[in-house]
Amino acid sequence: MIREIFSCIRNFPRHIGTALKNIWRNGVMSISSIFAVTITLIIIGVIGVIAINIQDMTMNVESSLTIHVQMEREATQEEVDATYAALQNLEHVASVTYSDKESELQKLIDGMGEDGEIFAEYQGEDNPLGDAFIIEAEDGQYLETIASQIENMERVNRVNYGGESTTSLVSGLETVRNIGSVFIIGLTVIALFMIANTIKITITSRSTEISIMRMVGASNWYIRIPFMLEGIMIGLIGSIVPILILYYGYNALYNASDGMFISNMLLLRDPYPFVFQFGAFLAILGSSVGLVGSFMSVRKFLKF
Amino acid sequence: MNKDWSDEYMIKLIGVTKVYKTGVRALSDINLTIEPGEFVYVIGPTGAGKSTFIKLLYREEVATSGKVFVAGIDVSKIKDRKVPYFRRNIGVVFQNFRLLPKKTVFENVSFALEVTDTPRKHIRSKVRRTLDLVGLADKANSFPHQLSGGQQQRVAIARAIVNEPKVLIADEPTGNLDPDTSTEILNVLERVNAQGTTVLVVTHDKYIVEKFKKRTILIDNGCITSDTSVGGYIYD
Repeated sequence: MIREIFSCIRNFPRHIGTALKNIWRNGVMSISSIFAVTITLIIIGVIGVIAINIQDMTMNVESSLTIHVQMEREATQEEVDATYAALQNLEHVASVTYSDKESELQKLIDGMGEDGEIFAEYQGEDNPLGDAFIIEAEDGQYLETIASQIENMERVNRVNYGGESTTSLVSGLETVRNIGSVFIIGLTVIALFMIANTIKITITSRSTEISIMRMVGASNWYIRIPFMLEGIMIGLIGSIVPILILYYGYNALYNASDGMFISNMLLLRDPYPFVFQFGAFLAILGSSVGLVGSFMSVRKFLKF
Repeated sequence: MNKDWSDEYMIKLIGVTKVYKTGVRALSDINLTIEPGEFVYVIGPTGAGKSTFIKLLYREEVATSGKVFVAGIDVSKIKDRKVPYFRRNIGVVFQNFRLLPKKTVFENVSFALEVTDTPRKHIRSKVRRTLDLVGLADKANSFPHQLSGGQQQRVAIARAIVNEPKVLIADEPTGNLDPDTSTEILNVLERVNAQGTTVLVVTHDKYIVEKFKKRTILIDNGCITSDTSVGGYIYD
């Protein structure tokens, strides 16, 4: 085992040379697998960018979804405290924030802008508002159940949340994201088999050489490594164009849309460092698909 | 690897039977001993089990039952991963030469040393010496297609012996060659044998068996039906 590792390290420059020579000699085949990787990575890249941004948007929307619970004005301090405790004990509630009637009114005034000034005179004793709680749910999907439970509590005046339109937006985004993930996995598998197939063809054309190597006692790793390097190189070369498209394409998209999608609630992820991270992901994906593909196809020729 | 290396035999088969998955019984209960430095012919009709016999020796196939020892190693106990290292004990030559067409004679021979991790500084001198032995020192920079069949087979022999294996197995080495060229090949094999390498020649070629009399083993229908040190073509 140790002997094999040392042999691999010592022969590494030669293996790289062999791999490069093979890519060059198998010109058309290599180009077609590089092309296959390129196409697949472009599609994966587009879907991936969409999926990641949707993921961001969903989280953004979900985290901004809160339930606003307004108490009756007449509720006593004891009743408010009891409700506070009850709310904290509800399932799937992430946090409960208390907001007294003065700050509620102040929020109303701020929210109205200049027109809010007319409410200023209600501050103090004449405040028509009750105390309130702002509740964050663990997940957007629980909003409805939590809200309906609170509605039945005593001394609760009004329960407000985004309503069904927001929940359906969230679930819609989640569906798109899930379909995207399935596509990415499917495409990765397809790319894997395409590369495996191409390398299988180049290996078959070199089966004499492999059989001679085995005849004279070359270890399996000695035979395998050049093919694996070939696969990695094909994957890396194939990922160049997708990375360039990602880099320039995403920047252009971001600049053209001002980083927004439809409304300012749906924000695109900042291009930096996102394009670099995602570009690195594409390069790693391409090369590991090449590595696994070549490993799979050379295996058949190394069985005893 | 097994260390019970013995001077008494180079190849030893004890009760070896080989049945293929298809149900074909290729060899039945073969017992055989070949001593170091021997030159042996293995003859027999097509399909008699000759190929299976030599495949067992270089572990292309594994015996269904019985034991195969080569160069003191119990072949049936070798793990798949270790097979390449075992193969370095054995040189094999085929009827169709199996040279790499895009490599020169020198590269074809040095290839066998490169892939087995021979230190670079030894490769050149070893290849030169071996090409001298097979009489092709002047063809080192030629490509296989520029050589005659006999010359190509000598390159193949050079490649098989450059690692200094203990056993050289030649599978129909003269099958594609005319009698004069066959003689030339046999001369080379005798020279290899004279250096102490055990040589095993599987052949159909009556001409060479008659001309170069050696121990001859006849395999027929999966059994050794004759084993003589007198020589001569015995089965017709």
